[in-house]
Amino acid sequence: MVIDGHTLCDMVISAANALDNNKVVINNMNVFPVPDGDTGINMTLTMVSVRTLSKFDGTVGDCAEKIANMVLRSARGNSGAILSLFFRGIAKSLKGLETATAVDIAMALKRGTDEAYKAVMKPTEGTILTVMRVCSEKAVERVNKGRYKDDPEGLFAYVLKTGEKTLAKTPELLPVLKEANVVDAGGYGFLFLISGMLAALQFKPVVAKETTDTVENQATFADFDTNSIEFAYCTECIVGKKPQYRGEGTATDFHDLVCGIGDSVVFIDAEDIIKLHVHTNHPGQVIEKALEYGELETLKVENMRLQHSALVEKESGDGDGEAVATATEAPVARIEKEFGFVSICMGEGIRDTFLDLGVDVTVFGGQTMNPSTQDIIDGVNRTPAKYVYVLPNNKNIQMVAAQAAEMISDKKVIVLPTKSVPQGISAMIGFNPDADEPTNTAQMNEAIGTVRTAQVTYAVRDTSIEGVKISNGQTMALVEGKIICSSDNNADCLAAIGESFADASYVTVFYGESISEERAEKALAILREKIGTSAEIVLISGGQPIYDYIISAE
Amino acid sequence: MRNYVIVTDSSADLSSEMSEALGLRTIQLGVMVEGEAVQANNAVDVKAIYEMLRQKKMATTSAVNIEQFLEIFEGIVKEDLDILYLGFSSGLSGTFSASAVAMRELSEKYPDRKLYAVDTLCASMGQGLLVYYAAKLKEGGADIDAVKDYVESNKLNLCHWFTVDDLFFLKRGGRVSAATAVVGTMLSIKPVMHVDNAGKLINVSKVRGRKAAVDALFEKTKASAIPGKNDTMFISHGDCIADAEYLAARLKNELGVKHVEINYVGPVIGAHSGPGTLAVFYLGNER
Repeated sequence: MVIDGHTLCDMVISAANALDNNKVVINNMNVFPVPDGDTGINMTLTMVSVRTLSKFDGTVGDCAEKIANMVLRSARGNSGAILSLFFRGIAKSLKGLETATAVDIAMALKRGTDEAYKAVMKPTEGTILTVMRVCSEKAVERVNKGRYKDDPEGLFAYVLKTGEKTLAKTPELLPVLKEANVVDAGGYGFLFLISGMLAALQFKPVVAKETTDTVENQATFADFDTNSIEFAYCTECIVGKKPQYRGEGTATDFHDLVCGIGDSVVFIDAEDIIKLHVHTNHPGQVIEKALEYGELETLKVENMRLQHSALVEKESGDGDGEAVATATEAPVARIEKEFGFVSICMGEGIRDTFLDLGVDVTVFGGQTMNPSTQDIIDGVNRTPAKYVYVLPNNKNIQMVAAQAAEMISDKKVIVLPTKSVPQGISAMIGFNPDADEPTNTAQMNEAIGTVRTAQVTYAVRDTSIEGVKISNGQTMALVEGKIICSSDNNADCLAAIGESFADASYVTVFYGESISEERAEKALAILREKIGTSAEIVLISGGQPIYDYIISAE
Repeated sequence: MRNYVIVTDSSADLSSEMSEALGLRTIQLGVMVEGEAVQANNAVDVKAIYEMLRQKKMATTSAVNIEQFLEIFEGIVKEDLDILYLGFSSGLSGTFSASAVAMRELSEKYPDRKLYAVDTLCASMGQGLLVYYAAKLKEGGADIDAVKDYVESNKLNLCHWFTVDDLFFLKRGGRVSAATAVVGTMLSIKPVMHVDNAGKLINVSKVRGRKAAVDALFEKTKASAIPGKNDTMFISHGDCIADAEYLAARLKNELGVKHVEINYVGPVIGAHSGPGTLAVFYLGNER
């Protein structure tokens, strides 16, 4: 048996569904018991875009290429970025092939692994990379010995078994996993991917139990009724809710309006944002209504009739569906200045702070909602500058940002290694509009090192990390990513942070959306007591979710 | 040999007592608040103008034009005095170019007279300090050419370091680019700036908080002042005398500066730099 393009599509769709069905268990593998374990969601969102390939008909090489492009644009988080690299390698390996044999597949898996390793600066063993590598090495070894020659199904079954064994060993390779008594979440997710592929080869493809929409809910060609487009404008936006509308499900009349004037509605009425997608003939009404609820964080309105004709034209040419991607891209801003900035952040106050520092575009996202490659590309495109600095402000967004940078050719994109909001702010302070690009890049990088970051959040399960015992529901204090304190009492955590920041001269406290001003003032008093009067301490309403406090020390 | 007089502008921010003691003549640049000309004859006037600036009232300044210069300079020529005019940086005002035109015309009319206009590329008490050194040389008996040469060869060693509390004013007056004016008011980020060799205002770095900004002025001074050669430093302030005195004390105690002259940033520059401006000036190796 050989694998053709159609089969490969069925395999990846089944893989995406397997991830989707298991995303919560994957999330729960997060080492840190912080409420933002999102490996499962990231991997799912990275993969589910391939669902639109269900009717694909073509060579296995073309199919792999298509998958790689889709996955690359929707990649989120480090695990998503690694997956997208993996599929890129597979596509390179299968290029030009009509169908693939088990040998071709084994080689492709190896090539995918190599691509992923190459892009990770310091590959850590005991992660998804290890699982990927061992699986592909063993697969190559086997086919070289003449095994599974005409039996891709057998090869995948073998790969899955090998993967399971390897995953079980990850706690031995990575002590943090062992202590927290978990296996690597990314590696775990990778096995769901392989098992989904295997299921498809066994003619029992995994069906999605409840489908996760891609977060963009990108209107793809498959969604359109190509004969008559009743509603012309695909309208999408994210609204940052005003304080009085905070909370889930507060925007029912907005929802009713949207349902009344269009179709293909996706309406997410979350804690502090509304994310919506609708096809309508009255985008203006949607926007006006949105403004009642708050500020528009992003907005996209496109005429699908025009897209459709572009697509038809394109299809009559080379038959490539790429036009979908180009037609839905955000507008590219004209270059008006030398330097521009894209910052990824969450929380109204934090976003305002970045805008106040001269950031041109903020992309919604952070610990809990990693933006995709495409989100970052859109942000860069909207920035009217020759040199665009991207501030990921989270280590989990770094790789995707780097991928986005690679995909932009008309601007020079520089991704700064900011791992936290305070580091992003420091980088901005280090910027000097009168200096040239190399000087600024050096100065901003240097500035990142001058700040320390602490965070206060809560634990979502019992665990133990680096000797600190943590119980579910407790408050935790993290300094530079390390848990320094865990307590039932918020004040203890703040005091611990105060102690470690005792030598600081300038402290900034961003308090989260769940913290009242009075509580923030009390927190300030606790910090003040530990830090002393020589330092300036500034309190800012950051409005960020999950983290009660993000505190920086300079 | 004919006697001469040193002429400067009100942008040099020297007190009337000091100007008088140094035998200077001062040309007044115009300042308008909400469309009305304001006078700044004494500290009370200046303080009142800062109050208006704090209310963000619109303040504008006007350069001295060729006509005015011709009138003033010719008056001095008729007193049988030569002129050494030390003007406000051409990088910040059109005043100097007007003076240069006026001076050329007069030189043609009075070919046997020494009539010099020097673009100091300085501002506020930086210009003031350069004028001060020039006046001291004159007091010591130096002739007009010697003083002119001194000014020309030392003007680019006159260091200006300053911070402003709110870049709103510099931006409003077009003295910095829109990009330079972005520093982050929410985080109370303050710019540390200097006047470059073209006499323009340049953002050197940004720091967190007012105290850090004032301390940064001290650190900048410490780094480029020449030990033993800076007996005199000038500080000008936009109605923030406490910060000026704090900085002066550090200069005296830690750098051994003997004489620190403190005065207001006058309304000509204050209209564009705003309340809370603090600047230090001295003769260093280079700007």
